[in-house]
Amino acid sequence: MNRRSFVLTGITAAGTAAVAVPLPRATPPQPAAVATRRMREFAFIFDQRFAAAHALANAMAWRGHKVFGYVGDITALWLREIEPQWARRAGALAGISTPAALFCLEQLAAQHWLRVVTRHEQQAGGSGPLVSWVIA
Amino acid sequence: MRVPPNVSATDYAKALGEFEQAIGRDWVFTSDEDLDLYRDAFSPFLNEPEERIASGALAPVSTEQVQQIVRIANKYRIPLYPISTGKNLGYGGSAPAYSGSVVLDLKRMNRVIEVNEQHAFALVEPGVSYFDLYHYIRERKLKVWIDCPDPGWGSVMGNALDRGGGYTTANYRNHFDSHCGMEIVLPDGELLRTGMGAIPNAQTWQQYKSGCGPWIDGIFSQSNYGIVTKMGFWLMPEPEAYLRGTVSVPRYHDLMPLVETLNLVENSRITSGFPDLESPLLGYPPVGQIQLWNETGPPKLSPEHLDLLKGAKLGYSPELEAYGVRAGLPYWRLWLSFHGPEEVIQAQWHAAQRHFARIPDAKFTVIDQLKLPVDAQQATKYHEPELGVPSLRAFSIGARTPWTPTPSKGHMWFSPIIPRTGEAIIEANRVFSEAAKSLGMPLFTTFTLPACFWERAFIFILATPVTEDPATNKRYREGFKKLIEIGGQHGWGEYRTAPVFQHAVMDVYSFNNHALQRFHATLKDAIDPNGILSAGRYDIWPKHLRGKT
Repeated sequence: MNRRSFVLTGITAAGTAAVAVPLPRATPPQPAAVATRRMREFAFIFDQRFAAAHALANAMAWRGHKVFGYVGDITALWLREIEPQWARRAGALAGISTPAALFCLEQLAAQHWLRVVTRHEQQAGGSGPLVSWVIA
Repeated sequence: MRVPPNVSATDYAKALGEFEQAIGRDWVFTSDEDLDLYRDAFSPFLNEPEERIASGALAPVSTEQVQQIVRIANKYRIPLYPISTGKNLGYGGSAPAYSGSVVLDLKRMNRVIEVNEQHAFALVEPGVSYFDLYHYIRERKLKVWIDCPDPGWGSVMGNALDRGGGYTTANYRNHFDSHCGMEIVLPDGELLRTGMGAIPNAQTWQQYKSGCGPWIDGIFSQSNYGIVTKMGFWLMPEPEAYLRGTVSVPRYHDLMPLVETLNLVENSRITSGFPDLESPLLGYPPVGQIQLWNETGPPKLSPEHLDLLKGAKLGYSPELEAYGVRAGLPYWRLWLSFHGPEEVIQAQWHAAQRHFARIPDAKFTVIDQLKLPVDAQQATKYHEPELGVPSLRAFSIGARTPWTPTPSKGHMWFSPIIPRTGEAIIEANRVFSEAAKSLGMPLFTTFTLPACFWERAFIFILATPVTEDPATNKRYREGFKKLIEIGGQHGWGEYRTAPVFQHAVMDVYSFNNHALQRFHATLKDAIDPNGILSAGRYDIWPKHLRGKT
């Protein structure tokens, strides 16, 4: 499959500037040229159990991104909002979650040949780490 | 570019060109980035040289494309490794058994071909997940249930072909047993249908399993004799009601009559729901409550209780037993569930109580009584798979907690089958706890209870952690193999295992100079002479690799 490099616009999942991720060239016998395409995210999701996640979600909402919250269990949100978009290859998904929820989404994303392209672990007080990430 | 073993770069390039013509360039994957998606997320060799990896991946969308791929693979001797949705975590995931194989990713073949409500069956392709089938049924308001494992993200077909199990009633819980009819692409590209499907225009393909003559379906499970492209499953008609009750007994040795009576009531079909064993006194949760314990923490035990647990041997001491009686903590609790019309399940529950009442001081409690159906949201109040609802809640633990301070990177399931007796439970605890201790493996706390997926045997299932430290992982791998050997010495064999352990597990099945393995090899040589399909899966190797890997 031809993969495309992309620029993630408006995503400040780690509080950093937009990230450009170059992708491997297509391998023979495919064409050698690498195309680029800007890919916007279709949503930002966050685990509502954590204050740090709320803070980032608020910032994303203020910037005009579609934001969805969930409480621990990702199932309903994945079924309702994420899987249909991934099936349509609608764009990148960003979020802040526990490592286990990210693991879950990473496995599900692989079904659409999507992958975690950035991840940034941060502490969330006494509850252990949270991870902010982008899947594209 | 990665190249499969024993294939020249020139031949591989030619094969890739022909694969692209057959299925489209977009569905042929060779970049490291794409192939990393096929690594086993729970690999006990993660990032080590021995980690099994794919050298390519192909994603066809139809049976015809699978046939074309197989013919090309035969031409260039490309080793293929079919996967369905690649979610066999703990048992190898999506990584090939023979490292360097080309993964044949069947997830694009995701059609629910039919769900027949009247005859309660479904016919699906390999890429259909339990979520897919559940939503197909719900959207059409069909009154049938699926039976799914936990989590429910895997393939209906894939789980059945690896002989996995679920949580509703006995006749649907054994996923391979509940299948009816298959379509298979053989290693030479020929298309075969089994059972009544071997009759053109068959009218009972998903209604009568065995057709006529040798019933060959079993050889396509846990094997490498063909690529299943369609599979039928019997489904449970939506029950009217559900009841879940518990039987609690106070003494250690009550375990024996408890299991004996469970066998009687299950085999008599007085109960057919998922039985679940717990020990409140030993702090061992039932399978159906593990999620809740993960989310909210296990029950808090008093200092006296904790001290008594430390002093128990194989989960027993007279002082601990006496404490349990004083504190009202049963030694054992058995959860029973019933599905069906209200009047029937009430009668079944009463009959079950009558049998268990032969155990002195047995106590009975109704935990849940529901009118069905419930929707997915309502089902979250319970262990959803027991109500036929797939879930991902197993991953909701997430954050590091006081009761899970160091979550592992993954796990490998050690899952021997033991007899369905209380004596066997205690003996398995003795044997494996002593072995685990001597091997330095963190498998046990005080006592382990088996899972009751199957009606006539227990699975004594334990999770061996995968860590970030290669030295620890190596020690656990070697320990795991030793546990397999020890189990075999006691007549216990695994029911399923990851590729890294498949040789060790199959070696235990050694009756009559490994007659079973020799038979497997005979079939392999006849069915797949070029050895292109899933080399090494369940230790079945093609002739050119036998004894060399």
